[in-house]
Formats: sequence, C-alpha cells, structure tokens
Amino acid sequence: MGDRPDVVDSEEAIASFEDFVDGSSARLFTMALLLTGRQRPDAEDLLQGVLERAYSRWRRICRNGDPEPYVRQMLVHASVDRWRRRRRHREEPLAATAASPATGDQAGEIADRDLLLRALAMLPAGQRAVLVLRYFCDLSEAQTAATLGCSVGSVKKQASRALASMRAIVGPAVEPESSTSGNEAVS
Amino acid sequence: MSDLERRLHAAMLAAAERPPANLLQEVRRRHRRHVRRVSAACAAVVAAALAIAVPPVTHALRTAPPPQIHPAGPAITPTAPANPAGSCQPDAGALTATWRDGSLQAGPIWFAYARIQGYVHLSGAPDGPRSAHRGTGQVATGVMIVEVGYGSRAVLTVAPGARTYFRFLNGFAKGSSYSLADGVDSLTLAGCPPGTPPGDNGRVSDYYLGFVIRIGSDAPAEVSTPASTRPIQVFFTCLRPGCET
Repeated sequence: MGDRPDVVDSEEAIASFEDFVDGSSARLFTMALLLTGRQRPDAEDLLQGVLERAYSRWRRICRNGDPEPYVRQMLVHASVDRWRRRRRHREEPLAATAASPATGDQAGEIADRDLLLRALAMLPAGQRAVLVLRYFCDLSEAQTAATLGCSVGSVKKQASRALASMRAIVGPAVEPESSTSGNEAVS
Repeated sequence: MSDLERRLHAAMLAAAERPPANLLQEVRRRHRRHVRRVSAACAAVVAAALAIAVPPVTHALRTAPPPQIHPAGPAITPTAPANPAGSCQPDAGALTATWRDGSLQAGPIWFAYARIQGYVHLSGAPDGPRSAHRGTGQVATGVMIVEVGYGSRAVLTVAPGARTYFRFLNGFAKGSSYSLADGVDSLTLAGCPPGTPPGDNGRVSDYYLGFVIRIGSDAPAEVSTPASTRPIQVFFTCLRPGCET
C-alpha cells in the first residue's frame, strides 16, 4: 500500500508501448495508407495522432489484452472522422492510362493494383474502412462489425456497396469474371 | 471470394510501405504538445472559474471591514502603523482553494488574484506595461490582498519617480476615501515563522492592503527580499476609471 507501483507501471507501460510500435508500426502504417487513400502525409499524421492518443491511455488499453485490435479500431474511427471533417473530399479522376491495365505481365499487375487502390481511395471512408478491415486485416464480418461498432448486416451492406462501386469505377478490365454481368473481359 | 476481392486483397498486401523512421519521436512530440495544450486549457478553465468566484470573494472582503478579515491584526487596519513588519496573519480570511492560479507571484509574495484583476504585472510581462506613465486623471483606490510565504520577508517599495501618483495603503476599508497623502512609499511584509500551522490559504500570511493610484498611470514598484540581490520590479496599473480592484 505504501509503495508507489504507478512509477514502475509507468516505465513498463512506456517500454511496452515502444515494443508495440516497433512490432506493429509497419502493419498499422499500411492500414493508415489504405484508409487515407495512399496519401502518405495524411497516413503519417493519422497514425501519429492515433498512437499519441493510445500512448496517453496505454495502461488501460493493455489491460484488455492485445492492444492491436484497439489501436486498429482507433485508426479506423479516426480516419472516418477525418474524412467527415473534410467533407469536400477531392475526387481524383482515374487517369485514362490507369483504366486499361495490361494483362499477364508484371507491369500490368502493378497497374491493376494501382487502379484498384485508387478506386479504393475514391470510396467513402466508411466503405473503405470495411474493405480494409475485411481484405487487409483479414477480419471476419463479425469482427469487422465489432471493430466498427455496427451490425454484421451493416458490414455486409457496406462491403457490397463498396465492391459494386469499385466494379463501376475500375470497369470490366480488372474483373475478368465480370462476364456474368454481361461485360466481356479484355482477353 | 470473387476475383475482385482476391485482387483487392493482393493489392492491399502489396501496398505496404515502410513507416516513417521517426514515428516514435513524433508520437512523443505530439504527446508533449498535447499535454501542454491540456494544461493551458485547464489553466484557462481555472482562470475563468476564478473570474467568476473572485468578485464575490473580493466583495466580501471589501464589505467585511479589516477587523473581520484580520481579527487579531492591528498591524493592517487602516489606522495601523505604516510598517506591518513582524505581524503574522496565518489565517485572516479564506480565499478560493486555487487562489494561487490567479495570483501573481513576485518572490516570496503573491498578489492575490492579480492575474485576473490585472492591477499589478511583473515587469516585462507580455500583457503588462513597458514603462512608467504618470496618469492625468483623478486618484482611484484599490484593495490588494498579499500573501507572504512562511519564514519570508519582503519589502514593497514605490519607485521614487512614481510616488507622486502611486502609494500603498497599509490597510483598506470599504467606503473610506483615500488620497495619495494617506499612502506610504514602502511596506514591509513578514510571513509567520516556518513552524506555524498552515492557515486557510496554506503556508502563507495574509495581508489586506490597498493602494492609491492616479487613473491612467503605470506605476513601477519593487519587491525586495533579504535574500535577493536584485529586487523584482512590478507595475501597478490603472488605465481607466473603474480600474479599482
């Protein structure tokens, strides 16, 4: 009772936070990049802000076990908030060259990925967050819903709309299977 | 998983970039800035709360004559001798619990609520006067509560050039009218001995004083202590009618 465990806790908390940043900053930074539409300065700012807030409540975060899901959740919410603040979100039209990736070769693959990520960047932040959690963090629909604080149905709806929007944005070139929708893929 | 989803998954994994090398330093820097901002915001809230709380307190102090504030303090009644050195007022009247936040410290003494009421500034303070100004208006009087740390002693002295437009009052009574001739050029304030139990305001002695100042003036004065070689310069100010504290 008489001793002050807070000081030790505090030092341990700082060390634990630094370990966490060392171990997960690459993953979190890529996630921030995807959430901000691959705007590196925005992603750095977003991640720094989130980590700062996590730092100030680190002991509480760690009390619940693995801190990464919590920080991931903070990141998603912060990105959606940021997007809402910037209502006048600039939509960057896809360059004509990017809309027709070559097929088969490595350059085409890179162009294809670039096109997809640019299409992702054009989505509303909520839909983008769903796709990032589902396909980058590999979370299930239930886990995604828990992270976003919404229902599984809402996640399904958002994901469905997001993918539909992406199909509309990238066109049939990127979706060889899109022949089901009546469009012929470029062969 | 559809082809689009597979491609998206692959594209996301391939989008990995190295995080900034100075990420931790930036986080720490932000944290320090955040703490500073929060501290400043807290100080502003405290100041606002004091601004609300102080008028009733000062009003109470004004309406309560010195015998109530200093029941055993003949040294600081309006009719007291000019120099209250050696008096000890450990518990002459409770200020708010956070009185130090709104007060101006000059060495071992605090001018209570001066940061809020603005009647005295440290020399060189951003919001204070830069130089002495002799006012042209009538004289005004203000009450001044000074807290002196236990075991400390300080001398307040009006700068020689300012004595024609500013003087201290060795006590203050509401309703009394004072002229510059009623004031004194110097006050010696002594805190209680270090072992004295703390009073309502902590380990400080309470002095209920006043000043007479010509309206429109900035009057330099000095706070000196036996321990310090250089006195602390302060400015008492009264820029407009109604500046009285």
